[in-house]
Amino acid sequence: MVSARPICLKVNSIFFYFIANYFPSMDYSELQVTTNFSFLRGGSHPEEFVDRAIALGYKEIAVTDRNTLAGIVRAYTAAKGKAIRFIPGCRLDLLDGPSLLAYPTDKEAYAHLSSILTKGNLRAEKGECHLYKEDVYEQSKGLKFIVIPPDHLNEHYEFDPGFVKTLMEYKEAFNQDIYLRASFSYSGDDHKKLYRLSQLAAQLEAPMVATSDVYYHVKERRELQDILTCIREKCTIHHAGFLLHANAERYLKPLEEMHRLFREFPDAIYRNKEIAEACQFSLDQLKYQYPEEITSGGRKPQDELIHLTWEGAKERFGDHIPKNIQSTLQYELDFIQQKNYASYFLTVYDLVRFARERGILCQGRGSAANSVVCYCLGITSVDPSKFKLLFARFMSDARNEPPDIDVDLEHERREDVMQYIYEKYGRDRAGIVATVTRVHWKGAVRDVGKAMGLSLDAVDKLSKSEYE
Amino acid sequence: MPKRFLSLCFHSLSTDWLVIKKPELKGKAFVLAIPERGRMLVHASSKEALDRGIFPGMVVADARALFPSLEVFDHDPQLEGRLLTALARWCIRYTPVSAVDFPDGIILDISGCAHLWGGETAYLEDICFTLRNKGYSLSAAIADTIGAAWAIARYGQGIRIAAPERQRECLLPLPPASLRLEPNLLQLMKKLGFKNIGQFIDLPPSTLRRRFGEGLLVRLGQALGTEYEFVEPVQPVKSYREELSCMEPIFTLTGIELALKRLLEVLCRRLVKEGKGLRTGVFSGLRVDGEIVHISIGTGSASQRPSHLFKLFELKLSTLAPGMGIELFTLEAPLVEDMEGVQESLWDAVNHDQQAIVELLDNIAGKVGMDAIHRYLPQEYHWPERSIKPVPFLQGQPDKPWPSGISRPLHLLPQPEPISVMVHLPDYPPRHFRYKGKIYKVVKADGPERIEQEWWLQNGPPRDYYRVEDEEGIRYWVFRLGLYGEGEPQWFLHGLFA
Repeated sequence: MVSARPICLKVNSIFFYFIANYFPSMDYSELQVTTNFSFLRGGSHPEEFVDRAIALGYKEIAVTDRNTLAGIVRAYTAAKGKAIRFIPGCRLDLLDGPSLLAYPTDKEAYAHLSSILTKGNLRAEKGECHLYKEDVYEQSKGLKFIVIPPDHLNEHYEFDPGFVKTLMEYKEAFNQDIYLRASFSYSGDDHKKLYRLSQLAAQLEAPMVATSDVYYHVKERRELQDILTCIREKCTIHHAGFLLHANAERYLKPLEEMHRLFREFPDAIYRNKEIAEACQFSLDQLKYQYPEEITSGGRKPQDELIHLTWEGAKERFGDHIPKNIQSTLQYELDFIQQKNYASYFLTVYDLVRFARERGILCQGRGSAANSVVCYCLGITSVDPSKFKLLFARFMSDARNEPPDIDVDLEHERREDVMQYIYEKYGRDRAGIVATVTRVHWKGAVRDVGKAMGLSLDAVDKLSKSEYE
Repeated sequence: MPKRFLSLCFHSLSTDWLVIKKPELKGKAFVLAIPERGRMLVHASSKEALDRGIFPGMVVADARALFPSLEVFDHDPQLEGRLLTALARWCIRYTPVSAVDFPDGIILDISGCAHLWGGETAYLEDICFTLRNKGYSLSAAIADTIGAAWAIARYGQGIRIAAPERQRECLLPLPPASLRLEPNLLQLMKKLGFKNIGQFIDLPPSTLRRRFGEGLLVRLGQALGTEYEFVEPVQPVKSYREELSCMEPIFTLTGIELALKRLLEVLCRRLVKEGKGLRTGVFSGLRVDGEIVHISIGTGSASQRPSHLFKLFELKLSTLAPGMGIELFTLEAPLVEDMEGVQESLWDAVNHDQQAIVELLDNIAGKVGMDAIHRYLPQEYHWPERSIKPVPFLQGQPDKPWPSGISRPLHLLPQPEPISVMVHLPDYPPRHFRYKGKIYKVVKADGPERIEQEWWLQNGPPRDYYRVEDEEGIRYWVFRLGLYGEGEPQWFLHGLFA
């Protein structure tokens, strides 16, 4: 009896050792997340995904919206300073091949991804993005790709031969590792699909990666997502049929659950980690990069700014510039030099100069506009010696963001200035700022009412009602 | 003899009929709905639904918003026509000339009939009483003309019988709508302020014609009796019946076959001529000993081909016992349908196939009975019970293809049947299951396929379906209702694979 004890202990410790090794840690990163920035597809905000992922103990989460990077900023902000690392990504829906999930590993790769998307957007109507395989091949360096397989196997329980062929093509063209997306979708044939994927993975040396193909952060959002589908496909819920998904499984799952679902293919989970580790690019690495402004007489931007400012000061105040103005100017110019904002001031100056020449009314405002420099350059017309302007309050070391000068132009002649900008910098370097607009309350009620099959009259009444 | 007409007007024919058919609906708010451009529109509402502000023409979704527990039934567009025809036939007991008056009435020519009931008042009361007892809400009136009877039945306040040649007085206070005018004409009269017939009945016809067209004059004339109006009485069903008497009693199979063939040819020739096709047929023989023997057949779709019909009869000919011999054969088609002659295309084989399937099915039905043959078409729903809909035998084509990529059993049980299982939690397939006392050991399994409730139709837990195979190689479709960890899941058997 006495000798039995140590043996028993030994068995126990071996068992624990085994468990500890088999599950080093419940680790898994969600790499396929469709947020509501994939318009009328995703059912949750990027922030909701990030918060839910933190609550579930995820260490990394990616956002992969369809042919857009628009959602990554919100997700990045939500994840900042929290116990989760955010991985920017994008789902590239191609017109001539299976979709790809792309993740930049570094800043250069992020630039590649952005230019692929720009190419697609320029090619198509507003709101669409037409991409081809070739576009991705050209700029694939530094990007990690996961290929999304078809939803179902064909009647022989195999993958469509066309898919396998394209996969080989991808493998060759990217000249690097590609991965195969493996999801457990509760559609009945998951085990067969995963088995075929694992065969394909071994054959092509394209490893499987587990994702959940997430569209909403919690199960309860399924109804909302179904309604979004109806709005997108312009049908009522009663006629949507197979456009809707059969179940509510496309939510963020607990880590243990992911490990359980992929118990037969633990590799798919490890690969997931591998990609997450490789993609260390963060939006932190992006800085504003202001181009050098064109100057006259071969001067450097700062020298040019100093020159123009003092010239302007003479015009404004005459030959005898007041002492306090002189010292303020000197302080501001030093600050601009220190922050390297000279080019920015020169750009605004040039616009204003052009507008004045053409007799277009314009007026500057904004944080940096409260400066004597702007007054001397003619950007603003508020005499700083008469008003107490607090330049430093808006522009200081503590407030670490670029200066801001808004120039309001006479709206009828705004086009003239725009054309001047296009001509000076080139069409491919100047653009109009886009904003993401939200669906408003009335429109949302209207869309949901229509999707639920209410008549136009009823929808009208509802959307006009005061109920909030 | 002066003519007298009786007009019946049913106020809520289709809903009354439904209440008669389903007495539990009495006193409930319900509507009949028809699909129109992808929406369901209310076609007719019960009295209780009308009280709640649900009127014909509304969208069903709106009506449901007004009154959530509203019951909705599909409306058959031919229902009213069928009901009116049946009722008109029923009225033949009161007069031989009974006609359907679309969309909501019946016209009876009662000239010389009323005295049999003891006068027009008693006659009218008898009809109304009997029909009301059946459950129909209606009004009726008697007048010299169809037009006047129609008008008084619908608009005459309190008056039921217009005395002979006094229809004019009765019509004067009635609105123009009682003249059966076109809607746009009514609109015009309303605009001009004509509220009753008395306001314009004395205007010169030329003025009325110039202003309102010929239609008004005709309708006015029909009501007053200056214009003649016809009714088309419902006729008793023409019977498709052929007879063949024999010189000598026949008792051989060959003889019977010959008789049948001859009769079929005659009958089919007539069917072709009248554009009809046979759905049921009865072949009878009058035996020498006075007995009548018969065999009957049914077809899946209307047929007028002797050879095909012969084949169907042939299956049953052996059951026709000739005894001492049959001296008279009759062939009757109690049920016929309109049938367009099919233009056969030269290259397209589909029509032939379709025809062949129809005939094959008729042959099968002849052996196992029509009731044993079902046909289903796909519906776009994930929930298995809703994913198919039964359709009448061989009518209708799938408007959507059958979904591919999902596996569904060939045989779906009418109701999921409870089973008890031995299973690993949370979502593994069962190891054993017990169904009707027998234990099945699962050797192979696939799944789960998770199907959530279609939340806009009903709420509840999802189902996880598994395909499992027992030791004998039989595959079953079983599911768990609910998830472990959320309530008490139950297991069911729902289907069998081939």
